[in-house]
Amino acid sequence: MSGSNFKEFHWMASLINNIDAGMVVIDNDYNIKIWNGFMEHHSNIDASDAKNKNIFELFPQLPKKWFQRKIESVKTIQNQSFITWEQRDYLFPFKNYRPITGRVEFMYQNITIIPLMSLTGVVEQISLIIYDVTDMATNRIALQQANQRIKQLEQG
Amino acid sequence: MTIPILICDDSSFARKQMVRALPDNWDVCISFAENGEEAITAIKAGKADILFLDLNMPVLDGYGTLKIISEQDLPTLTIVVSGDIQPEAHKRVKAYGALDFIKKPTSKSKVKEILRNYGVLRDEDLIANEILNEIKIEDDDSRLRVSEDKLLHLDPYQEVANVAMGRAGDLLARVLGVKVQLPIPNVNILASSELHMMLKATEENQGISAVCQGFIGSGISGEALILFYDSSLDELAKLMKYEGEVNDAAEREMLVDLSNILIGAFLKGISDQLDLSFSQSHPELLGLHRNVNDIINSEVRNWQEILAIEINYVIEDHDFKCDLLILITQQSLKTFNNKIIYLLDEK
Repeated sequence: MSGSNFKEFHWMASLINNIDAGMVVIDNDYNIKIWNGFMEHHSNIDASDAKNKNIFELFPQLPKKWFQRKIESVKTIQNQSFITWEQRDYLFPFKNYRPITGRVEFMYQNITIIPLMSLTGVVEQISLIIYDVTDMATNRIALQQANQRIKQLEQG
Repeated sequence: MTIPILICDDSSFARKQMVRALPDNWDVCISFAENGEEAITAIKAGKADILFLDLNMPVLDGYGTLKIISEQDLPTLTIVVSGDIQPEAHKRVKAYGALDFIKKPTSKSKVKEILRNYGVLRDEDLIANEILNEIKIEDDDSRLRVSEDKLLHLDPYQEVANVAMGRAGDLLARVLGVKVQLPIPNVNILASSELHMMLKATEENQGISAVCQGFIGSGISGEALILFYDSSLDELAKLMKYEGEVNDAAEREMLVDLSNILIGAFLKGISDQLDLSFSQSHPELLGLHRNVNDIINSEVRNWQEILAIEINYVIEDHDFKCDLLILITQQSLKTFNNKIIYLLDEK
C-alpha cells in the first residue's frame, strides 16, 4: 500500500470508528468483520472481542429467524433495505444514550442493511448501519398519545 | 540524612498518589496535612524541608499558605502540585515564592526531574538507600472497594474530578482569555429524588438554562449537565465577543459552545486519566426544547442512586458563573471503581 493510500485508509478508519452511528459488517455466515466505536461503547464489547464472532452467539437475544430473513432478502434483491423503530423498537439491546434524563430505558433504532458487492459482483458481506432514533420515537409516541387524549376529550 | 517532607492535600487519594510519585529509595520522612493551616503548623515543627502543596483546599488554600510562608519566612521549599493548569496559576504561585509547579496527576519522572533540577535530590543518595527501601505509606481509612454495603469512597473520584476540572477550566480560560476560579469539586451520591428537585429548579427558576449530554463507553455511562445562570448572559456574550443582540438564538448558541468546551474537556480529562474512551450524544437544551416535568414524571426509569460530581465555575472579575454536573449511573460504578483502583496500583 503506498503512503498516500495508507493515509487515506487511516483517516477513513478513524471516521468509521468515531461516527455517531453504529457500523457493523457481517459475512455470509453472520460472523462480525467490522464493529465500530459506537458499537463498542454502547455494547461494552471491544472490536477485538467482537471480530470473527457469530452475531447470534454474541447477542443470543436477536430474533434469529426474522433477522436472517431480512439479510437473505437483501442478498437476493441486491439492494439496501430498512428496519424502522416502528417495526421493532430495537435490534441491539442498548441502553438510552441519556440514562438519567431519558424518558425510556432503551435506545430506539433505525437500521439500514446494505449489501456489499465483491469485485466479481457477488454479495459477500452485509453492512448494518444503526441509528439512535430514541428522541424521535419518544416524541412521536408522546404526540400520538396527546392526540388520542384530545380525541377522547372531544368525544367525551 | 533523612529529609522531612510534607504532603499537603485535602484528598487522601491525592496524598497517596504523591507518595507513590516520590523517587524510590529516597531517604525521607513523610508527614501529611489536609489543609494550609495544618501545613503551617507542621512547617513550624520542622517537619517540612520540602513541601508538596495543593492549591484548592478548604480552611486555608494553597495561595494563602504560600503567602504566610513568605511573610513569615518559614524554612521550607515549596513545590505546588495542582490540577489548576492555567498559566495564570503558575505565574501566581511562582510570584508567591513557590519553587516550581507540578501538574496533577503527578508522575514519578516529573517529580524526580524537578527535585534534581533544584539540587534537592542527588543520584548517589538514591543508590545508597537502595537497600534501605523503607518508605512507609500511610494506610488510612480510604480503602477502595465497591460497596455491597453501599459504602463507596468518594475521595478518589474527587481527585480524578479535580484533575479533569482543571483541564476544563484551563480551556475555558484560554477560549475566553480570563482567569477561571477553580473550586473543590463536590462529589456525592444522589438519590433520584434529589436530582428531580434539582432539575425541577431549573424549570421553575426562570433564571437558569441547562444543556444536557449523554456519554457512554467502556462500561461507564452517564450524563453531563451544564446549568447556566441567565444573569451571566450579557457577561458571557461580552467574553465570547458575541456580536449583535443577545436574544434566544444567541443564548442557545453560547450555551452549546460553553457546554462543548466544558463537557468535552472534562470527559476527556477523565477518560485520559482512566484510559477509557467515551461516545457523546448530541447536546440537548433542557427546558427550551423539552419540558423538564416530563423527565420527572417519567415512570419508566427505575431511578437508582447516582454519583454526581458538581463543579461551580466562577470567572474572576466578571459576573459569571455556571455549574457543571456529571452524573454517573449506579450500574457504572463498579467498573468506574475498578478503573480507579487500577490507576492507583499502576503508580
